[in-house]
Amino acid sequence: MNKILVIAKREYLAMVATRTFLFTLIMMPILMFGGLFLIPALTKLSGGKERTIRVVDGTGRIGAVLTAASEQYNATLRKQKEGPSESDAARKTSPMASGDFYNIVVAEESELEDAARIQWSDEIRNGDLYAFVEIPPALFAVEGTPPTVRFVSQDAALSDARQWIESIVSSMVREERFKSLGIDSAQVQLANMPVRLAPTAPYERSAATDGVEGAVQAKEKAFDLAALFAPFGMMMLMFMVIFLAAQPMLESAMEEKSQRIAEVLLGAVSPTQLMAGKLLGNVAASLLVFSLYGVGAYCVLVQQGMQALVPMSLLPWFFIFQILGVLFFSSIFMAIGASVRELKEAQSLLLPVWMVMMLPMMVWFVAIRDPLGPVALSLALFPPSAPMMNILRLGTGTTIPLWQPIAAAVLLAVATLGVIWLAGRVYRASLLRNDSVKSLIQLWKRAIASQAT
Amino acid sequence: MTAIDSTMAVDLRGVTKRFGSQTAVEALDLRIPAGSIQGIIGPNGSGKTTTLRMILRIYQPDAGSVRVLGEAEGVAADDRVGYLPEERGLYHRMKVRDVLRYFAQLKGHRRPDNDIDHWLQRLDATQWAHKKIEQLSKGMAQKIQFIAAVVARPKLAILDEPFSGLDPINMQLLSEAVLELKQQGTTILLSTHDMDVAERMCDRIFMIYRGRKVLDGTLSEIQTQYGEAVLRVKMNGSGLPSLSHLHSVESVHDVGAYSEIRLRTPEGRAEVLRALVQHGDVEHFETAKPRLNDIFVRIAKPTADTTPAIPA
Repeated sequence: MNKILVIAKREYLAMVATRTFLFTLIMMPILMFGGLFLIPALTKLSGGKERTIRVVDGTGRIGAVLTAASEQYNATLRKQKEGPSESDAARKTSPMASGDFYNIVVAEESELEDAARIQWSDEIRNGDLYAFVEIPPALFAVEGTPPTVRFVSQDAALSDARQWIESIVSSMVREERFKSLGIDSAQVQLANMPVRLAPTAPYERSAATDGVEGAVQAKEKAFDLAALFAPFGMMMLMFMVIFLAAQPMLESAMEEKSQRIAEVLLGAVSPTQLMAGKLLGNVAASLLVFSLYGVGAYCVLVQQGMQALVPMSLLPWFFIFQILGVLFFSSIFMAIGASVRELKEAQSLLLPVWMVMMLPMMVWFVAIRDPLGPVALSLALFPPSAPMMNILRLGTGTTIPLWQPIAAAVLLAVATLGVIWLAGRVYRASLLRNDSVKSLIQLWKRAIASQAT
Repeated sequence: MTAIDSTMAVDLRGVTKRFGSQTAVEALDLRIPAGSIQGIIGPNGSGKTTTLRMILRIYQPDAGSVRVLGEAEGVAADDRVGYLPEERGLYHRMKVRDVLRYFAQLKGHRRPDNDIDHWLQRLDATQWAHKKIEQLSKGMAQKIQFIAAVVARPKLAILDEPFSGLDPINMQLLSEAVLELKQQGTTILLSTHDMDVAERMCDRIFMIYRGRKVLDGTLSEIQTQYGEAVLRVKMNGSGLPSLSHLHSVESVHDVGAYSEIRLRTPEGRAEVLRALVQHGDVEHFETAKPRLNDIFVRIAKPTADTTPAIPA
């Protein structure tokens, strides 16, 4: 046992005490989730420009409204940039995501000539002007389709400012029409108010106290998008933990084979001890990865007030599936590493393993919408996809029949034992050989045929 | 049943090892007296590594018995056996001291730091203790590999080409270390392609060829087996005459200052001497002990199509 611990310690340190590990630890979540945060961050970074919008107000009424609205918007944005604590509230009320300041200049002209249109367009192209808006005099006519209001800029189709001005102008026109028809717009708004169907989890009764039956409680489900991404995030966390643990096993076995370290090791310990020590160190490293990512993610959720999305009851399941998943995939990666001489030879063997490993990620959206459905259930019971699919299902908050994760864990445990046994045979048979295995079928044959050396 | 000889550090009897249809080692007998240096020689692919791995318990024989330091059983390797593989065998990204500590602990040495310090100092490598293996020269890595093999104070040290990549000074240093181990009672099994090393350092030499034993004995015994049929000759002022017509001459080799004449039988000496005297002034004529290298080549030369037997 002592020798197994010595090997486990070296394996653990070899995995975690490296720059590569640190780099991967940082890069992995950036690559996986970076897009979610990167785009707003980049937008914020690129925002802050002063942009001038010239308004030709044929109605003579809208220019002033737009000017006032822009001043209010700019003030909100300034606050947002100065005080990060208010950022969330500000972001929710902010009409524009670009983060630029808009300066509305009402032109003297009430209608624009073509010559002026060309001149202003040139100003836009030169960067002296961001946009100009042409509001025709007949905008408030109560009959027929309102005339077209033009927003001219380089990025007219995608501009936040266009949408913002559009909403203000539309609202004013609507108000004007209600007024001319003698309708109270507040009443219309009330009449149009949509009925909300509150997403609610099945009712449950709280624990009885002093013989008094507990109260029936309804738990309203959180923000839909968060409810969607929380289980996805947990599944991705499982994937990252397994990946970060399994990949080094491939490299470690390859190094020991190619550098003939295996020969020295097998002169000191049995292949079973060697494999047990390596897997033990590997599991320990995976627990470290989980601790770092898990604690980090939880801190973010707490900071966002969304910790309820990740119930603590999920933790034991995460540990069970993580340990089994790490053992399952690490054994396979180790067997492959011991069977090849170079990384490029390993790639063809790894491809099918990767595809199976990625399976839950290909169907996660289907599974999350119907966690009790046949796709989710079959992948939850299929050992290679069990760690990720079970965490995804359990993370949705849907009541999953207890037998299902238990059956999945048992099946995965049995499969893991089988894989460790087979991988051990391949590992033992391959480690001292100079040749390379070319396909998984060949690997399988070696596992079946390998005799005691 | 054969009696167990407790004076033997290694005792292989009738050992056979097959890989599929290929027989790597066949009916091999090898006995290494405790406290001796045993050389094991043989061409590439002759079965040396397989034999070493069976002694290390990495491989189990298909037939025969392997007894190491008195123990016949056990799949797990014996902590009393140290092993230096031919080149490599170290984790490149680990530091010297860490890798030595690791291998010592795997051999059951719980507090190896003093021994590590001793050996680093002994082999003039102390200043490299905190360097990574990948930063070492080939020679320095070889010295560290040697320390890794012996730091846990093994009773039997199996050294596969220990002097590979070393300059003459370091070779001398390591040779002395090997002899020091022997003096301390460690049995050394030295696998080498360097016949000079085998001649100089080994108490006994064992040669394996095509999976079978073809030589086994002290250098003197082996030379006696092959020796009397070799002449070392130098002519004064003239070259060696053609001797191909003489029935007793097997081959003639120019080895620099001398020519070596290999005879079919020792009795051919007189016939050769007569031929030389008739040709000119004979400056040097001696019956030489053959060098191990010659014996090796003679046994394992590519033209040999049958496994030679040990001369009577």
